[in-house]
Amino acid sequence: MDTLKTFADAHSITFPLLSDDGSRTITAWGILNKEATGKTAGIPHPGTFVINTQGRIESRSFEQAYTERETAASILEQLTPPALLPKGTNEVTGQHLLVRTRQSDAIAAPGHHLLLTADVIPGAGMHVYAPGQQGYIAVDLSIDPSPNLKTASAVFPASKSFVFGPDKEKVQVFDAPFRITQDVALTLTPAMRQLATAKGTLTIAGALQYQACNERVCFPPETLKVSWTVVLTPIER
Amino acid sequence: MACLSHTSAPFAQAIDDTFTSSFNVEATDWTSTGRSPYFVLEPGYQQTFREGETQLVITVLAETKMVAGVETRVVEENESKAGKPIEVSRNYFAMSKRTGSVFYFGEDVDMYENGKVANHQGSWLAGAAGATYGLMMPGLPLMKARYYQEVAPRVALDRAEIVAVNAIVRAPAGEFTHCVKTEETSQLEPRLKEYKFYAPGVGLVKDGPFLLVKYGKIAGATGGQVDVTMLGPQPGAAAIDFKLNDQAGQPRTLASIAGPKGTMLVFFRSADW
Repeated sequence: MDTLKTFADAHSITFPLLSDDGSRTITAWGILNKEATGKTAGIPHPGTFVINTQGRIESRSFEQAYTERETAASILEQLTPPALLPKGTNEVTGQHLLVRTRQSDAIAAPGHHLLLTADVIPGAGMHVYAPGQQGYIAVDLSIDPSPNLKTASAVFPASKSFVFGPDKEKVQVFDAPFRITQDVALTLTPAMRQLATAKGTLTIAGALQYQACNERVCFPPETLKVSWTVVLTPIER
Repeated sequence: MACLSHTSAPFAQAIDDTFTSSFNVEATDWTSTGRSPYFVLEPGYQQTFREGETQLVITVLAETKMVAGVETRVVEENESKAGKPIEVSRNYFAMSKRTGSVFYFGEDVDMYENGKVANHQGSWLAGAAGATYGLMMPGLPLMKARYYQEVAPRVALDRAEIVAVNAIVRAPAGEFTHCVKTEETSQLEPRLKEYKFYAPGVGLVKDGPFLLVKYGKIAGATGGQVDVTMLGPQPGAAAIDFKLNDQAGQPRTLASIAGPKGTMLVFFRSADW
């Protein structure tokens, strides 16, 4: 308990920190790390549960590597996504659409998983092709490969069927504002630790590729450069 | 001139050539992890069997052991009666990647009496004392196939014959069809005869009188490969209440830490290292 008080004071923590002496709650929850012995005996597999007002598990977040965690903000953003990003939020304008970006956390540590968001707003009368649509260039968000990042696949919402052209071709499109989300983990490399100690800034660069069409014509494909900026902070010890 | 001997008959230990006893697996063909239709050799896979008060738990461990130059998987068999240990053995298996056949490389046995290890009867290792590896389960079980499972002269000479490939077993863990049934005999104990049943995708489901009651992957036995998606209560399940002291020494419960919209409960490893 003194340990918790010291830790809470050192980090100005006001939410309750609980002491599970004997790991009884950890065991009851089924997350005791059975391989941990000696000094580490009794530790849990670290993770986060979100519990709703009915006392049921709403979501859970565990990473395969114990050094990686989803940030609280990224967990909350997945549960309650913010509304469409307002005009001017980190905006990039293309020929036929515009993109607004944000990330769950402005400050993060190596090992953290962040949620990147890209809101895509097609121009009036425009649609872009959903992932998996054959015969067209589908919209795609890619993150530039970097030793500082581990990226998951981008997540797209459900698309819409659209009947197009004289052949009444049925295609999968987005013709209204839609959101792409992307989980990225900041790696625990020596270079990242060093950058975090220096409270440096990391730019996560990516590209949005798409081909826009309206009722009559398809325009040349375009690639828009997008980026997210995170201030790094060292891992808590 | 007659010469009578009272030592054991010289042929008693000779290999019975109606059972296959020599298997030719290339050095590059071995794997210590995998699964074939009737045998699961994946770390963390555990099966629990029961017969009355006696329980047998078979666990594929994250450990491996080099036996006769081959990396084998350690499979623990733990037999207990009313919670008291009877026999704990560590069995060594390796699989042929090409055929899916699983071979048996030996076992270290602890026999218990009154809660203490009494002896190591039945222990053997391929590559030692003239022993070689046997076949535990062919990748393709064929009717009437006969093979040695253990080839350790004077110690362990179990043999199996496949007597059915379409058996049905009803066990507490479920009804299993298309089971392979083996008849096991031992050259060392001629009167002994046991039947084992193996179900596709599950492995052993009936071992003599023991019936399978539970099987699946367990957390914590997989050497860093714990399946974290299975840990703890899943979405929709009830959160488990607690009474724990906070940093101010105040007792707290699930209800007392909840906010108006719910609770985010973070389990972390330590606050002091």
